[in-house]
Amino acid sequence: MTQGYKPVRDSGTFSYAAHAAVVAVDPEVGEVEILDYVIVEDGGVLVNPMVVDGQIYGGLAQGIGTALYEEMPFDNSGQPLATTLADYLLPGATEVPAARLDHMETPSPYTQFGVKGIGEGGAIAPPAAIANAVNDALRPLGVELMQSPITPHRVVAAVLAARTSGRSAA
Amino acid sequence: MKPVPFSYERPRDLNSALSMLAASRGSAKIIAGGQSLGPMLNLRLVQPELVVDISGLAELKRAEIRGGELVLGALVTHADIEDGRTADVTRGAMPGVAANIAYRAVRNRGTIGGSLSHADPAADWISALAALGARVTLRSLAGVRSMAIEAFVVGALESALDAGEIVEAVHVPARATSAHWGYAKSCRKTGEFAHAIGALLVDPAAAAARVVIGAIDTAPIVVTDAAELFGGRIAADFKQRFDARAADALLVKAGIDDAAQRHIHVSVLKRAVFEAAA
Amino acid sequence: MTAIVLNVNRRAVEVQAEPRTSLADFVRDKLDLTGTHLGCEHGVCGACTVLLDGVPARSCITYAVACEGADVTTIEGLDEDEVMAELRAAFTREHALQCGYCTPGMLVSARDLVLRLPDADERRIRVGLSGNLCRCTGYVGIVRAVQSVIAARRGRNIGPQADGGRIHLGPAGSGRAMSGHDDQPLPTAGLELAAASDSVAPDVIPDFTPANVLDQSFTLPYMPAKVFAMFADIKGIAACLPGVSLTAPPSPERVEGAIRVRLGPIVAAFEGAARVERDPAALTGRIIGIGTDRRSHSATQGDIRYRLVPLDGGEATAVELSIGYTLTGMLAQIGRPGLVRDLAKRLVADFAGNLDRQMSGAPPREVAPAELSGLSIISDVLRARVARILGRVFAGRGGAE
Repeated sequence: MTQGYKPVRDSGTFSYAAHAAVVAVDPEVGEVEILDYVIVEDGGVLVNPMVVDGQIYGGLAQGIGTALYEEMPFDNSGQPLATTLADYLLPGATEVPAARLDHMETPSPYTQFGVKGIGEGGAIAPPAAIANAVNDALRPLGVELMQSPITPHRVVAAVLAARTSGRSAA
Repeated sequence: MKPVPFSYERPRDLNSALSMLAASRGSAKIIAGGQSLGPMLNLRLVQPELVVDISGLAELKRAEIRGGELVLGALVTHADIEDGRTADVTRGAMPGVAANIAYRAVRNRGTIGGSLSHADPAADWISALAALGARVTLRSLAGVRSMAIEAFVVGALESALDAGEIVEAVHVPARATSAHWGYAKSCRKTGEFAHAIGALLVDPAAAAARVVIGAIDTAPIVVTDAAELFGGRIAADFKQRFDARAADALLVKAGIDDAAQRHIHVSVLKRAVFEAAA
Repeated sequence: MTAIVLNVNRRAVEVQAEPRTSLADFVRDKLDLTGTHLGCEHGVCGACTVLLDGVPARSCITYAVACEGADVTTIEGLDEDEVMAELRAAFTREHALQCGYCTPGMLVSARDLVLRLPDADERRIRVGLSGNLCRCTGYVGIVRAVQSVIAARRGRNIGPQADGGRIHLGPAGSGRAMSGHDDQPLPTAGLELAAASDSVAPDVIPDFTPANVLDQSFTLPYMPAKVFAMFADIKGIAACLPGVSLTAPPSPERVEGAIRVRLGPIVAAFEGAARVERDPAALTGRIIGIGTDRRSHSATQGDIRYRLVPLDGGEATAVELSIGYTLTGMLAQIGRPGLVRDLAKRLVADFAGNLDRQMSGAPPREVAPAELSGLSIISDVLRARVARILGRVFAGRGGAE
């Protein structure tokens, strides 16, 4: 027999999180390295903390992919241009940092045990956190990137454009 | 995906391999480790009628020092070089390059001759070996010929190999004790193809330098007398004398019209220069 | 089918398989060893990593027939392996897998790291695992698990495996076959002998916006009027384009033909038609073409515009070319557009050289690579196919594969 559980109010129970990234950007080569990454997540009462951590770390890796690597380009007739894993880059073990993770446990009033949804909860915030960190690093050069993934070519092109337009303080 | 059906032959020696290649009149492909050809076969980008597997040929698995230079058979793998199963005359330069090619599982089968034959501009050996001043010997039923790496690579995936000809060996000259080596590449992620490679062999004692700018979507830029990149003179202060504008001019001349791309190439070459000076 | 003899998990097996059967498909489909997983099937994801003569190799891009006589160890063959027992326990403890798809390949690579690099720090472990993609765990538990096994072995003073696990030179798994193994060449299935002669030329050639545009120019030492006249000679122009052959007599407005291009080992033969427009007053022209390559299921559209500009007081001509093209299908979807641009540049350079030679009365360059000589190579392939089919029929082993 399989038994399920459904909360009385089942419009979703959301967990909340804050992500902080420290990055190093090489403006000449365009490489971005994540030096430190901290996540604090409030998933309500944690039923199995090990599985919750796994979901958040896994989500982080996907979010890093969105921020720095993964792109599905199309040409102007709709032709997909990245159809292999040699073109569509997934982060590997060297692209994902050993992130630090902490939890708050604010119980949900709407569920038994006070649990909240946590599935791959780490995936949403990284593009914003990383892009903000990159832009903070490049601020003295007068550069702000508004497109993900933040590729070496996009970084260098933006740095050169800022230099040419004289926006750079350096 | 799976490859289209092909016939398969495992020749007993190099001569029978060359005969099969000649008889196929262009419808055969040589396979060694298969680390470049395998993906292309699986994606059906390449659809040969016949695959001639040379991976078992002992005569292409030699590695020896002959007349002061290292002669590596075409079937020597990246891992063979990385692990030191072959001698090294480059004082660590070649093992260092080998260790950073793709991934270990690929290096255990991928061969130096296969990598050169494939002539992918983004691959390591065509740039590194050009900087080291290496040569290749090519063999066909008509005989043997030898040429510098920079002459061998003609363009993207395009080598000087004639139909019926295969890479037999790579000849690497010994690196002088006074010669500095620098090799840098930028890859979007570890093990990926590089989008910029800089390689140089600088010998201030001999006032000589070879510089390579690679991974430029076509044959690498090889400067065999690189004084122009160091203010006209190669000396101990070559790091200070490196002229980024001269490097940029070479890239413009090679038809790289994207300024950001050129900037990345020059910066990666600068890294290699700094590494050589360190 | 060929009989392939291998040692899989210390057991000698002899199984019939096609030469194109990957080692991964061989162990999965023929031997039911489904612990080896297939992810990308082009050597990137690492899920299919197995041990070949004791060292890790990608079984998706290694053909079983090429491993004849070799020792293959899949995840199933490592049940009793002491390092793998430690790694399995560590993976369980550290929550190093969620869906488990990458795990067999990850464990094989991890075992190699543990044996080969007993001093590896976290960075080296990450580099060592970088050829195995995981979409679930963020690698946190995997790296911790490998770190803990390495630390435990270091505590027991276990040194590195000698020689990186290999003594012989050359590709892992090679050189174990009986020497001189010599199968009958097998006929290739699905030959399309008639394909080349069916007309695929479309009736209407539409305008389009090219995805890629390449501007090239070259100079010819002839007056613009003479060059413009030369450009009207479609047969002559076609003879200067490497790999181009005409499939029907051209009219001034329309041409049907094929172009065979080669990018390294990739060969495509696009068959189709083009419409030709010319403006004698402005000394400009345009060729809009469309073609398909049946082998790769790829198609291309091209829009070549030329403009002739007088040089040296009208004695010479600058030919300004704008080459626009759009590729669709498999050939377009490998995202290395730079390689195609390099090919286009080389084709234009050959075209310019041939044009110059033709106008000065010399034949197109004889030393052009045989592969690019279009018609001759196509007929070579056809000849080989006919011979092969006849061989098959007479040998009475049709469809042997």
